[in-house]
Amino acid sequence: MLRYVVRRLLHLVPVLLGISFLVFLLVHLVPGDPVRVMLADAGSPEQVERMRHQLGLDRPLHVQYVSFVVRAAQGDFGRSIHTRRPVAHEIGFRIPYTVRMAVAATLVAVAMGVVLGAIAAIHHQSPLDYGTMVVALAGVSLPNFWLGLVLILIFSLYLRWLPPAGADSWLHLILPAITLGTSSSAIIARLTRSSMLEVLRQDYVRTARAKGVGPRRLVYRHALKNAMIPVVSIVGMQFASLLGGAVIVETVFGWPGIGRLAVDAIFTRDIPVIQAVVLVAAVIFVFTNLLVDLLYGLLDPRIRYA
Amino acid sequence: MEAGRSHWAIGLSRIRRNRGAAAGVVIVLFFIAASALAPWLTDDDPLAVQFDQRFAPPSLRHPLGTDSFGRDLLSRVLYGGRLSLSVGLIAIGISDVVGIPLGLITGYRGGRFDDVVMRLVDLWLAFPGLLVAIAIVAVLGPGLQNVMIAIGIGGIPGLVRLVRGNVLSVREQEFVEAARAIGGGDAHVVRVHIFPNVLAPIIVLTTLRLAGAILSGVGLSFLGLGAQPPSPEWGAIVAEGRAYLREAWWVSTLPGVAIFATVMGFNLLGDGLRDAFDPRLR
Amino acid sequence: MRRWGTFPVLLVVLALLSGLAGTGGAAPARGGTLTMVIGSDPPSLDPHRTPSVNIAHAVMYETLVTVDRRTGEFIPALAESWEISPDGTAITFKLRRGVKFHDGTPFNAAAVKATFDRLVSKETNAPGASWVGTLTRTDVVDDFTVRLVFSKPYAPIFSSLRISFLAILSPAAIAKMGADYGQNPVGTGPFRFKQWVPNDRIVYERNPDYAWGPAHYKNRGAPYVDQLIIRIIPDEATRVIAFERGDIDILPGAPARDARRMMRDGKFPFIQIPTTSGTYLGLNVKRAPVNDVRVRRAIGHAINTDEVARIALEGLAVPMMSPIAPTIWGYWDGVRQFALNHDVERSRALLAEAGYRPGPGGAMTKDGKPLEFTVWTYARMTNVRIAVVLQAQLRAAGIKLNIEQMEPATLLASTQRGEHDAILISYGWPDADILFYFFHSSRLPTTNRVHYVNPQVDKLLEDGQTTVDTAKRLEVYKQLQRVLLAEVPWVPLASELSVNFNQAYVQDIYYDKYGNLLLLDAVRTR
Repeated sequence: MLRYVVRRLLHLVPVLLGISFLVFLLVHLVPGDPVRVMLADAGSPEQVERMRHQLGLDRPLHVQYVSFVVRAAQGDFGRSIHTRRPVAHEIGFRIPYTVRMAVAATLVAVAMGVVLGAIAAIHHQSPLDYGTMVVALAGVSLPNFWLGLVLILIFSLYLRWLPPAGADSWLHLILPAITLGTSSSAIIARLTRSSMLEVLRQDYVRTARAKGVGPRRLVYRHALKNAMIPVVSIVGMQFASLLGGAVIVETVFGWPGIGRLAVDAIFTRDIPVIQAVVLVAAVIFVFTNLLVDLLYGLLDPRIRYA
Repeated sequence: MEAGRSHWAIGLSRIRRNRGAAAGVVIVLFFIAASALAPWLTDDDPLAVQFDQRFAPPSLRHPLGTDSFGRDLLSRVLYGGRLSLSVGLIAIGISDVVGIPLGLITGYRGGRFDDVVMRLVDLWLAFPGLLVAIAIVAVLGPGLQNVMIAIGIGGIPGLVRLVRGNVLSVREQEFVEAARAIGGGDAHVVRVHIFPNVLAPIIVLTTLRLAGAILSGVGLSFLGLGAQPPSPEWGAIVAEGRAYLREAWWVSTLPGVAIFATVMGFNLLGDGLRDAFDPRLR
Repeated sequence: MRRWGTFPVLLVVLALLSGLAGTGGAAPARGGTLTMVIGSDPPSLDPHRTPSVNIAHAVMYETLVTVDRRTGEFIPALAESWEISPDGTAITFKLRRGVKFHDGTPFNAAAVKATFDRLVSKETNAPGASWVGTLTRTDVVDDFTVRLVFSKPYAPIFSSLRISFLAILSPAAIAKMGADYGQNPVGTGPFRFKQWVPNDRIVYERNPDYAWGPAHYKNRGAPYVDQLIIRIIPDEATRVIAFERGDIDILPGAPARDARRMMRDGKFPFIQIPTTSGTYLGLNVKRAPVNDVRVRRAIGHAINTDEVARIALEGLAVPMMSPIAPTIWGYWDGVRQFALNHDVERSRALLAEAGYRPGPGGAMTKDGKPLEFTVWTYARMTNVRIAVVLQAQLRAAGIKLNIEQMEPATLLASTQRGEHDAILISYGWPDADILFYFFHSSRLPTTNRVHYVNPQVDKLLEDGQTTVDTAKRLEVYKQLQRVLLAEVPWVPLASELSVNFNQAYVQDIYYDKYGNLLLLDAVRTR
């Protein structure tokens, strides 16, 4: 097991290098001179050169890349062009918020998804099954900015139950988590359903049923647990895609996470910030997947680490 | 070849029986037709302002009401559908044009080429979808064209992976071996024997990805990174109407319904197709 | 005249400038937290490292002078008095004694020198450095006397001096924090910095040592409230909802549409004030078809600024007749007789003079080509709304307007290359000297975005900077406005009004004429 983990970690090195290279390239793909763009129209030629030097943009490309990786590995992404604060500081502040929202959304997604999926599977090919699956499909089809808007209108404005914006308490987390979790819950529902159908067809379940295990016990003790194995892997994937969806939801709910930071950075052409956000999101994704793979092995005794 | 045809036949007959897919087809065709026929369905210009008609609620004259400039929302939604639908179609077109040949070639050739391509694909997949699009928009600058390109590029790796996986499973089958044995060139084998047999999953995925691409497109426009007002693109209408949600709810909610329904249509259709071609998931 | 007729709001505004009704004679309630909201984080709380300053700086920093909220005159703040040398190249400030920075450092001439030296140093590269104009050095005369020395007179300096860009910083903190000053900012203001959660809130606490409030406050000592929170909510709709729910006590600058609705509902007290900003249509005088002054004038007459203010800006704006907004120092009221009033007939006549004839569909046409130009603007909702209205108005006069939106950075870069026909943007600055940046030939091609070169205008703009005598300086800008209205490099459009709401339990908050929120007297009655 330990050897497996170490091997997987070693495999990550080229992946991380590749990711960092793509992210590094961003600054050089920007049309126009990034320094001019950053200074808007205020810069004299000397100012432009000074800034270019400060940012290290006057060095050869490979030197820039090596220094980028070395610094990024130490959590140093330079300073934001817009705020002039260290990017690491900007991001460090916001990551916990985004992660908190993504975790809450994942919980919502899993709770809603597993329940819907299980209901559909148990009532296979009944109206309840079809109805549940249509609901799930509707969940993936809802534009999340629109859902967020409608939730704010209903729960903040008319019912006045929940705050529309901010990040003070867990109350602030409810609406964004539901908004963000809805589409994932639909995906999880589908997978839970098909996975459970698969399991319910298996011999051991049939045997258990023949032995007279009650349907409730059958579902909870046998089917659901085994059906969860593939679901775990999709939850990992979904967690990462939530990081992307967070961009929109954070904007709607005024949530101080890295998604909104990225959007703001686009308007100000704050390339170091965009680089760092994308890099961090990709790294989180890679490690989440690793974690999920390892968890998967723990859950499924059929997988052996050779 | 024979196996392929019967597969199609079975699939098609299943689709006909699938009510969800049927509903999906109807919805999708409805919105495509409505956008395409916009000039014949409404006399209103989606950009024409009428300052004495501001914030008219839905009525016979303005079935979806008017917005803050007195523009007719029905015509905006109809014409806007052209934009939002074409964002999805063109984005998917971009990823298909690159992704399908690449998946076919890499799956068929295998070897080092395949190793390298799949490494790159895995790398690319490490970036969450919408963030890739945002990073690309950051480079290209906001705008509807750039959003299409961004979503298109973002869709390539998933497609390559799917096509390749299906090619791998077809490549070793007897009829392919036979075709090769009788001297079919690689290009011929891929085109005639492999491609038709991986087409079904591609169609399924393309339909579902269309739904996703439309959603990403309106999402980016909503953020202000795509179409910009006065463009009647759906995401932009919703974003513009937000400021008036309290007094003129129809401005952003009704176009929101159009987005939802269209995406739902594609999802129903894709879902039905998947059920038809991949009966294991029934 | 008629342009002004529909805007009696201005009178209301002036009446309200003096603030809300007071709390009466009873002792003011103390304690509690005030929460206000703004739309975006300040880039930095270090005034030397931010391209823009706002309320987040104003509550914790102080400047040498400030502006009286009632009269609009410059009054002492950290400086007790000042004296301008006869040739206008030096200003000597007597500084207030007994002032302490939040970190305990005493405020004195050395602090002022350290601040200004840092502001203008090449190493700091401060975006705000241009606000001091021709300042060459800062001399310490004695502990509480400091002299600003200019290479030539810089008349607009007082307008700059009251802005947080020129706030005085703690020399001890500068030495200690260096470039990170903004993360632990230290000022002398009534509130001191406590915490900043980016994109969420900035928290300040009452400065208990504060005892040097400017004269336009009733309270000259420490603020009555214990804590001030500035929430950051970028989305306009969400910001308003948060206020209406009661999560926020003070909502400055409500979005126009919501402001209209809330003013109508009358649930919340509000203060409406003009802003020192102006939005204009800038015409690239080097590019056809707008290189023809007759075409530019025709465009001006085709535009109905009343409608721009009423429809695009939801009535919360004042139509502009001059490139200088009425709230800006240097505005000349006589300009109305030269203004480009809405007159489609006049517009058509001018176009006929320039060789255009009505063609198919009413489009004005010359040599078989319809009159058409493209305006660039950046994707800010109000600008886009104005562009949409202009498009409709110009169409009625037979002129086709295309709208192109871009992000600010691209817009600025492209206007430098002169590839634009027209731009639609806004500026904000309390002194007419701002026009130097837009029309002086030395500002080509950066901020002179209309590529306008006119030696007469250059001279007037230079005189505007060096003329220290106020009456003479006003005369200079009067001339300038006449020339600019004849040449029409800009079609002035509208100056926005700002409507500021607060909860009824918040009392004695004021705004000065530049829209700055003044909180020293503020109390929370529950």
